[in-house]
Amino acid sequence: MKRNLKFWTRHTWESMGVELGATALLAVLALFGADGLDWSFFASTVPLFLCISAMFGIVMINSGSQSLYVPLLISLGETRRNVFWGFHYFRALVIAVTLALCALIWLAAPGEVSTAGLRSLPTLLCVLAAVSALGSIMGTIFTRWRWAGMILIIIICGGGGGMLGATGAIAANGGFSQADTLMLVSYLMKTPWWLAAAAMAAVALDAAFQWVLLRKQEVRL
Amino acid sequence: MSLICENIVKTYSGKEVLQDVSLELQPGKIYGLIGRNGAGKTTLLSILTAQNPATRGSVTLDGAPVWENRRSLEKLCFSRELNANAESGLAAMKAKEYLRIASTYYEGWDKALEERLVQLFELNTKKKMGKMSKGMLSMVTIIVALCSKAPYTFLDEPVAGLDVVAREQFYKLLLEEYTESGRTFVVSTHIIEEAADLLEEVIILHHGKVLLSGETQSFVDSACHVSGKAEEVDAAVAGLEVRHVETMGRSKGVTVFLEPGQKIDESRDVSVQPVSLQRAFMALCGEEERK
Repeated sequence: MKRNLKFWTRHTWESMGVELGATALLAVLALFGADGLDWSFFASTVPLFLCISAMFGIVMINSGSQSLYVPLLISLGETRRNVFWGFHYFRALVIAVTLALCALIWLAAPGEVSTAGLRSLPTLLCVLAAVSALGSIMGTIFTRWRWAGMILIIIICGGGGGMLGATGAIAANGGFSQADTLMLVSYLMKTPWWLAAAAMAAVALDAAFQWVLLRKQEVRL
Repeated sequence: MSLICENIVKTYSGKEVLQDVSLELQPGKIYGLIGRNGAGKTTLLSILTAQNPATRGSVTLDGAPVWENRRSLEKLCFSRELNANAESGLAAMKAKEYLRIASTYYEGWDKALEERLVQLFELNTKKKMGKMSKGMLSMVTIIVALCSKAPYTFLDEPVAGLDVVAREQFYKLLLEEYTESGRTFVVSTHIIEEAADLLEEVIILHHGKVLLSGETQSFVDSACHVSGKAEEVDAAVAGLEVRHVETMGRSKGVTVFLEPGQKIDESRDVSVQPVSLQRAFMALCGEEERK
């Protein structure tokens, strides 16, 4: 299990590059539309971009990890059980790091947005967990039924990419003021029960789906 | 310590690609797994190393099941043929990265040997695997197999795409590693003639069945090529297992497999020659004509 943790921890670190890169890009775009640069601007925009990039990144990375790293590790003598837990650990770590970064930013820049942001963390956790489970299911479909998976990836990544692009466009055109972000975050401050239930259901469905297929998975590299 | 598989059956879409395969792999030997394309060699190696599940049957190492057993799995290494085409996720991965991941997963990984082999093969590990030639990918699989130091190491077509110099280097390295470590190697290959001297034991797989499993030398010694005039040859080999018949006018040549105690009637005007492993294999698995 030690080497499994070592591998997935390193993989998380490498995968975070995609997320942080997209966040940095969005932040740069936002700079064009910013009235001024201060901590409140930083606190109101970067966590939002971080979460949007994470959602996009998680879907992409999950699909890639599922189709490449899962069979690769089995081929290197890892048990399917350990690969299964390792993959879940990796996804949990990506979400944990994303939320920890958001929390750090909010803690570093006290204010109205930060207070609201910190209170929205449980909702963000549910959203990211559900998106991560969706990405994993897609990755499994892609690995098993390549064409169906490919179509799903195109649709979802197209949607995710569109969301990322739209965010970038709004940011560059002066959107995401502190007031806008505050309004957005205020919706997230109270976690609806159905969102928590949906996230848990998505995670459970993904785990069951993945395990059933992983047990029968044939290694093809 | 031996790796045993019993009554392995593997079915794809209702078709049995492995039929009731039972084998015992003893420690400290080099096995050659030979068979024609589609015989089921890669499938068998995948099942022996728990990379693919069997439809039926069991694989054990020292009496413990291999499937989902980390203790057994860490004693096995199946360095499979890499297929880094555009569709494969491996295409975008650098060889250096692949070797790094492999080194994480094999406890006994020999870093010094890895560096030596990379130098010896003049392999550019910074290159993406999708941009590597077939031969270069084979070098990567050889490096993983040898550096893993796994007591049971399986190589699937390790010399595919390698030039003659690299192939010779591989055979030398394999022998060197075998002599030093006493590890068990199972090498699946189509280049039988070159590898014949290395293989202590041979396993011949044909249409998903084990046709033969035993000492290479005994198998080769049991076969011979008998040639001469057709009627003389027929008389000399009467009652024997005849394979691979070649006729040219009134002349005839046959490969014969002798059971213990059987002999060719050498009073006949025929020439009896020993055969190579490749020829014996061809006689067994090629287009055969039995008498």
